Amino acid sequence: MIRARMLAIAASGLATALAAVTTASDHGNLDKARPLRVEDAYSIAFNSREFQSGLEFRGGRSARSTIAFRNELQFGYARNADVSIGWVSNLVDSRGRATAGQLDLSGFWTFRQESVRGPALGLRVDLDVPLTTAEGSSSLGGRVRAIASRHVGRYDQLHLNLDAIREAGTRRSGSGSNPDRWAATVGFSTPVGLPYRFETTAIAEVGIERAWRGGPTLGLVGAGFRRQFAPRAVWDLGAQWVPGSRQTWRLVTGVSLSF
Amino acid sequence: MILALLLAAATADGPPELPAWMRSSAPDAVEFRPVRYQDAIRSVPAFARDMYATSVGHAIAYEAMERGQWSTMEDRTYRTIRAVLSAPPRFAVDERALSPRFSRRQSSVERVFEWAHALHFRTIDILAAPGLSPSERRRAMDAAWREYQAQPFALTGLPMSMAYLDGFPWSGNFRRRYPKVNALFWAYHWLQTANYDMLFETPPATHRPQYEVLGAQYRDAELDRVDRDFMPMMAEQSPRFALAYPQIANAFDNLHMLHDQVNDLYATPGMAPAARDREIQHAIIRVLASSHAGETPGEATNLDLHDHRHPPSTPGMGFMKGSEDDVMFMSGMGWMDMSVCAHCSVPFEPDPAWGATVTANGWTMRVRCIMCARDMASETPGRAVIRAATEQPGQTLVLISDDEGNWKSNLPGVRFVESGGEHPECHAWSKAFTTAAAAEAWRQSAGEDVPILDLTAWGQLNRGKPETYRKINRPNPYRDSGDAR
Repeated sequence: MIRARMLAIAASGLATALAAVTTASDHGNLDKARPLRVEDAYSIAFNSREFQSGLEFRGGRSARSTIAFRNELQFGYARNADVSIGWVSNLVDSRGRATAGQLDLSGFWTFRQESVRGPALGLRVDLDVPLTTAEGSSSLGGRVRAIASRHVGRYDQLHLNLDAIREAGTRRSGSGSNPDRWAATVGFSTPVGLPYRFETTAIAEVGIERAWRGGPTLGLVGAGFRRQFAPRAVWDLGAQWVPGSRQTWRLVTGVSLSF
Repeated sequence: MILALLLAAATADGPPELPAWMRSSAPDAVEFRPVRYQDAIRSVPAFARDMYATSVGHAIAYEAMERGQWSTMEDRTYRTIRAVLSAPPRFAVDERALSPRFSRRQSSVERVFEWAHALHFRTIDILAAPGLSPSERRRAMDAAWREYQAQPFALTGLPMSMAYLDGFPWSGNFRRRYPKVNALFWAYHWLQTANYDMLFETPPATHRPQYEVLGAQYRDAELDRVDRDFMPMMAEQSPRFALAYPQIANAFDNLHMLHDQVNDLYATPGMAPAARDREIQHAIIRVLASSHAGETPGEATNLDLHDHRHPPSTPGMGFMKGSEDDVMFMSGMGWMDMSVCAHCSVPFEPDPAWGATVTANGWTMRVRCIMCARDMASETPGRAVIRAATEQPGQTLVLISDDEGNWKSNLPGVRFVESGGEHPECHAWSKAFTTAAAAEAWRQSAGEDVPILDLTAWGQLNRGKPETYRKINRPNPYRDSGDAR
């Protein structure tokens, strides 16, 4: 019953997103989880509003497959800064249930753009609030992410993301039992077809993640793209491989709409 | 003593104090607040795509300049841009993605350009949006201007002396050394200026057919036009819009002049990058709104940077080289008096009897009446667009001709009277009406026994050049040879 309701919400969310397509997401501006872990150092523009919606599938031989539905509203509240509120609901969690998931509150600040002196620098702070009372799911989580972006070729960019993470509850049950970890991700993005075509950015990433108190180091490899398909709408698709994790693969797809 | 001299030398021609935003290294991406008519430009798809392509053209050229690719500017870079212009993008393009090195080095000017380009798109959306009343459109334009001016990198809406801004030792370097790519820049600026009268107070249903004429002119003539003496000005290309919104018209002229100044500085041989960048900062500061706070249009505290005089009849344009009051030199047209009808040289009547405009062969001129518009269009080969007042203040007549001079109207029942009096009163006896009934009502109230003409009959008339026409013969101020055109 709950799952049916969640599926209905997911469907209506995506429908709303697609209906709003009339109203520019910038496919070159990499946002968290759209579709990979890596993001660039740039906030969305002052005054811009963006709605992001997508599905995340995870699975692996030694873990049950899960499906999460992620929606997020972003608002560029000042020059070089945005805030967002997101909801990640579990359509199918690791126990096969539908759960409300968590709220994500986030702030992002760009301190400098790339210049002849150095890379662009940004900072993201996330606060994750669990919405379920299931065992282990009640503690707040969060993340602080430092980001640097710079061009390495004519149009190509490298992005370095350094994260300090405290997971909210055990939503991501495959990520290990110790909630406090750090992660480092290096991403590569390149606009496809410039200077003649302007609609697609390809993205790749490699990363590592490890608990502060030790334990195994998880590696991550991902690839995906963001493609503009309407004046203010971007479709993204990404796949990640996390070989040391119980859920070894992730598939993410969604849309980002400016309105 | 020596130290003092060194300090004096170092600061004598150093940059003025930079505004805080120019000292900041933040990207400062800004958008206009969302509105329901966002992207209304897409109601004319070919126009929208051509406008998106102008961003690509700017960015490719600037990246080539920053990379020092001068030897290939007029061939490889030019060809690349032309290829994009012939297959323009479907959506708006992020200029910084196309010109990353230029953006890294010239972040301040990039911010000025981006925000002013956003004003272009916002104002176009307002004018193109269907379903807005004239008062709503006016309020939206005023709000857009206030929102634009709220950012520190906004350009001034005061008229600036173009003679001063284009009179530096390095001025004109780019257009002389790279005429083909300069022609592209000026073509983009032609498109970004000519479209405003196409959209201004004209029915949305006419925008697409009007753009068939303007778009063909842009692609087939303006992009290749290397004989222009000066960049296109808003009041030249969209005189009615510039009259209605002089601040916005001035801001766009100042934007386009800043583009020319950046191009000229990059194209100056032997100028060290640091000196060039310093000059670009000076150029930005010269045209910022914050640099002219408290100053007044029409006044000049000196005759260079703070010369805000304008032709008395044209508040949306600063003084041009050689300008005297309302008389100015227009590329391709020669010397024109902006205060009189371009066809009969009789002074304009005050609004609301605004008369008409004629767009043909890349120019747009104001004329006193619909007859002057028709006869002026007939003097010019190729297609033309006439926009004219009717008896209904909110109803603009739009006539578009084919290559043979046959007219099509946006008003199926349009009628004309043309009794053929003296030109100084032509606005009183040459009129357009939305319907035959309206024409008949005017005839009865005026007590005039004149025929009411349908479009076909009216279109076959031609009264030639009026005796009142006065051509101004003076040498071209932009050419040493004194060529009158």
